[in-house]
Amino acid sequence: MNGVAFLWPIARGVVSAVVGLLIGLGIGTGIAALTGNDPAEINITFGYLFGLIGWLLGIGVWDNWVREWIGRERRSFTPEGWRRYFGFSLDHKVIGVQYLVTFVILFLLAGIFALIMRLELADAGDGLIGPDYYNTIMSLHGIIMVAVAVAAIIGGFANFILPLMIGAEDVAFPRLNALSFWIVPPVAVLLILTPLFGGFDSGWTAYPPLSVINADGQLLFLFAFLTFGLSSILGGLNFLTTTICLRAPGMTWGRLPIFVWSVFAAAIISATATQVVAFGLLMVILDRVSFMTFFNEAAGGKPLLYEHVFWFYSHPAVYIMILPGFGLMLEMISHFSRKPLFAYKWVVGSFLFITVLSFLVWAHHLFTSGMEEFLHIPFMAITELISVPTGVVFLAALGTIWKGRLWLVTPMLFALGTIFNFLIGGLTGIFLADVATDIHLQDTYFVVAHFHYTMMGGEVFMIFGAIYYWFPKITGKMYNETLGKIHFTGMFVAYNALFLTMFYVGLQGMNRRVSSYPPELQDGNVLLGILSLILGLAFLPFVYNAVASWIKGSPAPDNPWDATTLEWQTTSPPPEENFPEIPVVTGSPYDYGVPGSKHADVSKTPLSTVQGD
Amino acid sequence: MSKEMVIPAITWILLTAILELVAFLTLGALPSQASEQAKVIDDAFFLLIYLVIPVFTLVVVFLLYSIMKFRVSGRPTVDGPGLKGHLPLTLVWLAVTTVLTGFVFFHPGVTGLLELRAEENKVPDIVIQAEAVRYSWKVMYPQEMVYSKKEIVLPIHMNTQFLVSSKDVLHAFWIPAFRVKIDAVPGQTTHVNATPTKLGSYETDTQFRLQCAELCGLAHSKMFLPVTVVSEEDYREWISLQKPIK
Repeated sequence: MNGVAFLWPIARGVVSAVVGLLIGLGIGTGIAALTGNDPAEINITFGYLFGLIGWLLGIGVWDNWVREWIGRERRSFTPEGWRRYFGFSLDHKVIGVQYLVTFVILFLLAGIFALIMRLELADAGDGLIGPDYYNTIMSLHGIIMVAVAVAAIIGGFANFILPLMIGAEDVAFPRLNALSFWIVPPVAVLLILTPLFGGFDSGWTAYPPLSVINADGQLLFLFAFLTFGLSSILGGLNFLTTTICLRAPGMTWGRLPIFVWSVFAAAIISATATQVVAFGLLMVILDRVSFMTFFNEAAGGKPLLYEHVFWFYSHPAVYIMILPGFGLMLEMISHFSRKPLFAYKWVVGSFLFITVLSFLVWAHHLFTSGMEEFLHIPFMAITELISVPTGVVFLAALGTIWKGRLWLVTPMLFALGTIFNFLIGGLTGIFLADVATDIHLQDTYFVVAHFHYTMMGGEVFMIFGAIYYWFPKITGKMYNETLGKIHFTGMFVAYNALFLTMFYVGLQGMNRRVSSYPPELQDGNVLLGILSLILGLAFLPFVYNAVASWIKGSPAPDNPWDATTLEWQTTSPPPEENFPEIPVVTGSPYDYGVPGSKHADVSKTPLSTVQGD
Repeated sequence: MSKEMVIPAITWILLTAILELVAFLTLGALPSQASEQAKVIDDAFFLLIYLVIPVFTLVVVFLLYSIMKFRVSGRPTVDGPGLKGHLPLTLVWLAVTTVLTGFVFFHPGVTGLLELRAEENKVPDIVIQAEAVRYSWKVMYPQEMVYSKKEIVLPIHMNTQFLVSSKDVLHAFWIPAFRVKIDAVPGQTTHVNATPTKLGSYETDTQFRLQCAELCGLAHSKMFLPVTVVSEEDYREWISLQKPIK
């Protein structure tokens, strides 16, 4: 299949989305006329819901589900080569690449938004874009980066790598997997359209009453978040089921690679906590478009309710981001130290303990919210308790590199850098778990620097580390090591300079989410602007390296790192069924230097049928 | 302790001592500390800094030492020792982190909070109502039956209770020089106490401002009111010039 025919599913999706949109607008106009409500938001609501249904039917739901329900054969549409990335592919490796490329592009876009914010903040007064656009750009930066942090590892690497690591042919629910990816484009479209609808000025947290009374762009944001949540729940269910049901013979729970454990723990959270924030978002939507008054105090509503509901998801969500970051970090540290992962079972226990604790700490975001004061001490206690299992992760990292044979290739540099970054992220978290210091630091740049140290320093660094680590496996090409090291060095130095300075500026009284500020803070903000520009430039070698190496890099061997885990025991890239035969697992994945131990027996017989390209 | 541990252990002690000294010498550089609450909060902050430094240096020293000592040039040809863990070390690590966490929880955690609560539980000398509405503050002095929308003036050394409310969306009441913050929530009256300990005003020190610290919309950045701390005499005079509450 050549030419542009491969774009058929997307074209059909767009056309049926437009049809759905028009039907929704018709219904919305009718309802608005009957109820006498403002038609704009009702039209957005029905137009979007029907448009979303149309999009999903067109892109693949019709072919893969509905045809079956009406007694016909499922129909698949499988172009070859790079063209398959533009359709409703059921192959977990294709979906993994779709996720990764989409979210790396979104990451770079939201990074550019950050640079625009810093440009505005170079002036203490109203600068380049003014407060209105600033609020929208700041909110977009926040929500897009949160989406990247939630989905890039689970959607990208877990999709591509996890089935390989456990010796499976695919995930448990391939159709659902494709669906959870193709739900994402409408989310991106909604967010990018928000400026045309007046933007939204309530940040990624969207606290009511503000989020009930502001411009229509807010409604687009709410639907985007809600839709993304659906994708996240489906992804979580899929990886839970895959890990439970599809492990190769001999792949016991005690032999699971630590990355699989970290995704398993994160999937528990994303499959069970996301519904809670969905209810919160739904209540805001209903307050806006119907006659509900969940958050309107004049009609008996309670604004504080939303903050609890929101953080009941959004704090655990931090661990959807950081647990896979830990998993990747420890995975690479073991392979590139040529040593078993230190205290493996304690790390697994810590991941599961963190998963449980993550549901019990949400109100530390609310110390200054006016909630009941008796909640302060218990939430401070449980929050600080998380430092014990987190400490085990540091012990495992240090214990593994101690007396190892450290191979300092780019992915290992990212893993070692992450130890340092997350150390600062974790230690500064104590200042925010402490009620007294949090009373002052809450809503300042100290908080902004802290969560960038955890989520960017802990997770985004590992996303890039993992891109280098698995680039040979995913693309079948080697990346350029020198450019990789330049990227790491630039990113590590600029990132630390930027966010360490941000702690300082926060302590000087800079509050967050502002476009203008007292003049004596200008020097600090200009410095932040310069450092963020350098950080932005540090990604250029990465972009060039990724694109150029993918197109014309030298062919990668099957196992360029001499690593033990299963994904390296098949071809680069792997064939469609992943392994010629289902591998048999016989030992721990990290038994470097353990005589006689072998992770798995993998048949090396080449596949006679389909080979990956 | 094995021989390889000696160098990093000594480095750790030295680096910790140096950083503690640097912290001791520079921590005074925090912005104006102008209330009793600010002293409690800053003391908690300093104590936490002193406590996290040895943890920070421990990890950094062992990380850097391992990188320098155990790196190989090029692809490793042999594996490291097949050491899967060390139960006594793991248990000691867990015990130490648990004890440290427990310590930090009680002090400055609980103690700092109780100190702030003790101030709040005293009968306030002055009660001020701060009402937020996008994008301005109205401060009312119910005992004097006056109000102001231009500035907030406080007498020094008076335990002042702020009753905070909002007429529209969420806002937050924050005076950086006092280190105190509480959200303004529609339908609810929240409160926070501050006892000013230093004379000062926004003109000479922007830490003396009542800043909205919860995103409230378009002009959120500009939603602040100058704060002035004066002598009781000057306070009386200022009160006499304010508009009466009807």
